[in-house]
Amino acid sequence: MTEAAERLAENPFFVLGLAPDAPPREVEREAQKLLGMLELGLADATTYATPLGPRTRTAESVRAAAAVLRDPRRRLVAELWAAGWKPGAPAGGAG
Amino acid sequence: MARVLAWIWWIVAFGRRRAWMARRDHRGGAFLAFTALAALGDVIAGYWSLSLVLVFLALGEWLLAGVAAAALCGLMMRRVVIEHVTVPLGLYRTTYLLAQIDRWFLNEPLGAARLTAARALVRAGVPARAERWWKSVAPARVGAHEIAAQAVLADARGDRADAGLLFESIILLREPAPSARELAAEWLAVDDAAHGRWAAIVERAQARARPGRGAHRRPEAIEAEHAATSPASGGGSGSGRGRGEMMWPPTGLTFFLEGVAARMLGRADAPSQLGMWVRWLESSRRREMLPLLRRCLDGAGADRAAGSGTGTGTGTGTDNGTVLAAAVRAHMEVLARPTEGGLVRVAEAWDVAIGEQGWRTDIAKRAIELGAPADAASRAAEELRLQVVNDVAHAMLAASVSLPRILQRSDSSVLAAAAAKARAELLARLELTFERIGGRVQERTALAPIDEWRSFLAVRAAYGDAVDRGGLELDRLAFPHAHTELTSWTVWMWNDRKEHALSHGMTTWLFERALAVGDAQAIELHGKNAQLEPSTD
Repeated sequence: MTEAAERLAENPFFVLGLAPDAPPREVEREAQKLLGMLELGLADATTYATPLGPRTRTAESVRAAAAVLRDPRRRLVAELWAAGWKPGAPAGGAG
Repeated sequence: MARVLAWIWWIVAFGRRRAWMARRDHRGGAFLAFTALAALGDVIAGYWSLSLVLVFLALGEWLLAGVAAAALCGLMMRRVVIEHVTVPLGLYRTTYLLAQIDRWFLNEPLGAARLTAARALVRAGVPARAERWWKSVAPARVGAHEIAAQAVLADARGDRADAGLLFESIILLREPAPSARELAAEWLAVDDAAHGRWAAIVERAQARARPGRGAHRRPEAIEAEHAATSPASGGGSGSGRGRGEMMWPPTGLTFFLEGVAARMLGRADAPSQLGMWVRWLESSRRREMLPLLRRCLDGAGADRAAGSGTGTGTGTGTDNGTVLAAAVRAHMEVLARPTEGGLVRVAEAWDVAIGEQGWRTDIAKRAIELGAPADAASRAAEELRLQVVNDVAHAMLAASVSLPRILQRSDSSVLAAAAAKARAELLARLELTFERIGGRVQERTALAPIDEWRSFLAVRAAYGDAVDRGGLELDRLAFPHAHTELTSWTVWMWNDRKEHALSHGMTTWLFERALAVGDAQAIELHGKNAQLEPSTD
């Protein structure tokens, strides 16, 4: 896995499983829900889908993703890289 | 009696030597004629030798008979004894002593005996007790034979990459060293055959030097070849074609593999079926080579079209979403599996996405919706572009694509920016390598001569690889740094270390590169240095 592919797979919208047009309220709600599920150790919350294949989700990655999406400038860049992404899409590797 | 023995000796020696030379030149009529002459001498010598031994035995002089038998075997049949007795049994000291006799018959340098001994040493499993002896017979200076000997030892260690690099580097040296070249050619041919690199075998078979000792590494020969092959393609080492001495004289095995390669590639000059059987009979390792013989006779030319397919054929497609989504999708695909075609497609997809009229307006609107600062939209667009260029550049390096070739396929601005970044990255890596070498030379931190050569080969390989990818433009940018840092290395190796053969090999390589980039000052300097006669042994 290259550094660039890792960076793309860590897009906050992928980590939180949200569409790029998700409103801030939904971002906060989803982050809190995921943190709760991770704290309870629920298996559903431990992985997330990306166009490059599934990745492991941790409490740190959820907090980092939420922090990025709270910053309008950084969120704008994340939205560009998540263009066309729909949560719940199959998590197969690219190519 | 003594006169008769002297004549027999002369016939054998003359026939063997001429047969050897004819074999190295071409394996035609002269080779057969002189081999027959030497064989006749061998038969006569064998008859006389056996008679002498029998006379001693009849007289009851067992000791004299034994001494005579041993001496005659050692002198008359030393090649057979070396190849079939001492080397297979791992008798490295005896091999070394017997091989030294070739100094008289074939004018072989002392290093050749060490090379033959290295083969026996490998058969003996390179025992620890041999190390002191191996060091005691080390040559004063490293030349082609020593490089080949080190390659043999590297191969025995299982380091085939090092062995291949060392064997292949013999072409850089001016000294003739036919036995080292023969061994190297055979090893490289077997390695290429194992990997199906038939073109490389044919290429080596055709490489010839102009007649004369090491003439192919003379500046005028390099210059003539450069003129014949320019514009420079970068990285390669010279190999003259046409009449002249074989640069890689073939053994029976190499000759057989050259025939196999010619048939596999479907060449017009490929040997006939009968010719292949003759070559196989003449070759060593016949049992091992039999499947290859059958394969090339059954399916000659089968490998011609092999390995030509490239590209994954993945389309970016813009029907399923926006052009930006299509570019992102293509981007992720190419990061997972970078290919030349994929890189061109992704760069063009980004050109469309970034260049789309409504795109920046959409970002600006979105920035307002999110409550971002006024310049956020333009900064986000710029950040996206930089990341794209960076990713594509790294994918270009990972896929080892040729930058000039990929740029010919498209005039995409993203592709051009990524290629420039990849070229800068290649240049920075090379500069770092040169600086490390330059620093070591300045501090006079000496490595063992063979390791200095390995270090040079690594630099040469890195340079060749970078030029293969970056083209002549990169060659022109990198050469001044190579010239500055490596010239002092060659001077140090010649003046202080007295490793003339190695220094000369480095200098002629710098001379080739100087010719390729047209650096007049460097051409003059390295051309003058390349005129110097390196001494070995």
